[in-house]
Amino acid sequence: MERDLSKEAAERLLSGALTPPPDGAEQLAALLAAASAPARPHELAGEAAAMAAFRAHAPTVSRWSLRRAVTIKVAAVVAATVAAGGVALASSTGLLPNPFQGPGVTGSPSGSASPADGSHTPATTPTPGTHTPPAEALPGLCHAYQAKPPAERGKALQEKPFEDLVRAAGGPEHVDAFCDRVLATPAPDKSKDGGPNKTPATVPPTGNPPVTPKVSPSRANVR
Amino acid sequence: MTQAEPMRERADELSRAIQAALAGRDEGFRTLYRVVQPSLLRYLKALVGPDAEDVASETWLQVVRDLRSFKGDGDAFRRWAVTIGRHRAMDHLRRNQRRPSIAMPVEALTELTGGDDTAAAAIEILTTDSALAMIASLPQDQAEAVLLRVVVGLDAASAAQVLGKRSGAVRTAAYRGLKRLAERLNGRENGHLG
Repeated sequence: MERDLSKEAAERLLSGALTPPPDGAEQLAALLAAASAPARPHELAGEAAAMAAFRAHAPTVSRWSLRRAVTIKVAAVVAATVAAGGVALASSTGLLPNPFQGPGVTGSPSGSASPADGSHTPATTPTPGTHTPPAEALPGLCHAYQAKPPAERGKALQEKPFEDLVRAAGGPEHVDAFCDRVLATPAPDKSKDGGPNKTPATVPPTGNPPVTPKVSPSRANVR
Repeated sequence: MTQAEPMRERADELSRAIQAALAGRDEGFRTLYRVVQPSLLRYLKALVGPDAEDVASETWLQVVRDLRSFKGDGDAFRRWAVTIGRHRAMDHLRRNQRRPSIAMPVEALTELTGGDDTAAAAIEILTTDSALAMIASLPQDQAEAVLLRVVVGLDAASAAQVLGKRSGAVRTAAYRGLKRLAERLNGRENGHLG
C-alpha cells in the first residue's frame, strides 16, 4: 500500500470526494466518511431550544407584524363599536336627530370620530414585541445559562449571547433569581397568542411547540 | 457518485432555507439548524471537548440574534455560523483558562479496529466518534483545517477565512493532517498484519 498521499488525492478527499477513494487511501477515505456521516439524533438535541430562540428573536416579519395586524384589527373593531355605541347612546338620549346621518355631518357630542379615524385611537394600546428581550427567548437563555457550571456563570453573563438576559433581569446579579422565576412559569407563550378572543387562524401553525428547551442533554452524550 | 454533488444540493437547500428564515419562517430556520448543527458540533468538539454542546447552543443564540444582519448564500451562512462558533469556543476556553484541548483518549484509537485483525473490518467498524477523535488528536491547526474542509464542507478559502489565516497555510495544514492520519492508519494496519 502506498504510504505517501499525493496532493491531488488529498485535495480530492478534502473537497468531499470520498468515493471512490484515491488509490491507497481507502482507509483514510473511510475515516473521513465516518467523520462526516449524517447527523445522529443526539446531535440535534438542541433543536427545540434553537427554534424557541428563533421564534423569539426573528419576529420582524412574521410574528410581530402578524400580532400588530391583529392588534390593529381588534383595536379598529373596538373603536368602531365605541363609535357606534356613542352614536346609539347619543341618539337614545335625543341629542342626535338621525343616527344614520353619519357622524361626520352631525356634531356628535361624544366627539367620537368615524371608524376610519378610530383606528388611530388605539395608538396607545401597547404593541407587543417592541421592547428588547422578547419573552419567549428568556426560557431558552435561562436554560443555556443554568446549564453552565456555577463557577462559569458570572463570566458567561458578560458574553454577547446573554446580553438580553442580563437586560431583562435588570442586571447580572439578578439573573439567578430571574431565571428561577422564568422557568417556574410554564410556557407562557402559547396561551398569550392563541387567546380565545383573537382569530386563531392568524397564529402560524408551528410543527414544534416551544416546549421547554433542553439545552444540555449534551453532557450525558458526550464521552 | 461523489459526495461533491450532495454538497452542492445542500448548499442550494441552505440558500433557500436562509431566505425562508429571513422571512421569519420556522421551517427555514429549522433546515439551517439541521444542516449546520451536526458539523458545527463535531468541529466544536475538537476545540472544547465535552463543552461543545453548550458552546453550540451559545452559537445558535447569537446566530438567531444577528441573523437579520446576515447577507449571503448557503455557503456564506455555513462559514458565518462556524466563525461565530469558533469565537464562542475561544471565549469559552479563555473563560476557563484552557488551551484548545484536543484531549484524545488513547482508548478511542484502539476502538478503531474493534479487535478484528483485517483492514476491512477496521473500516467497517470505524464509528463517527472514533473517526472524529482521531482527527481531533492531530495538532490543532491540522485538526481544524481537516474538520472545516471535510466535516463542515468549506472550501480552502472559506476555511481560511474562518481561521483568519491564508488559504495556503490552511491547505498545507489540511494536507499534513491527512498525511498524518493516513500514516497512523497504515501504521496500525501494519502492526496488525505484521
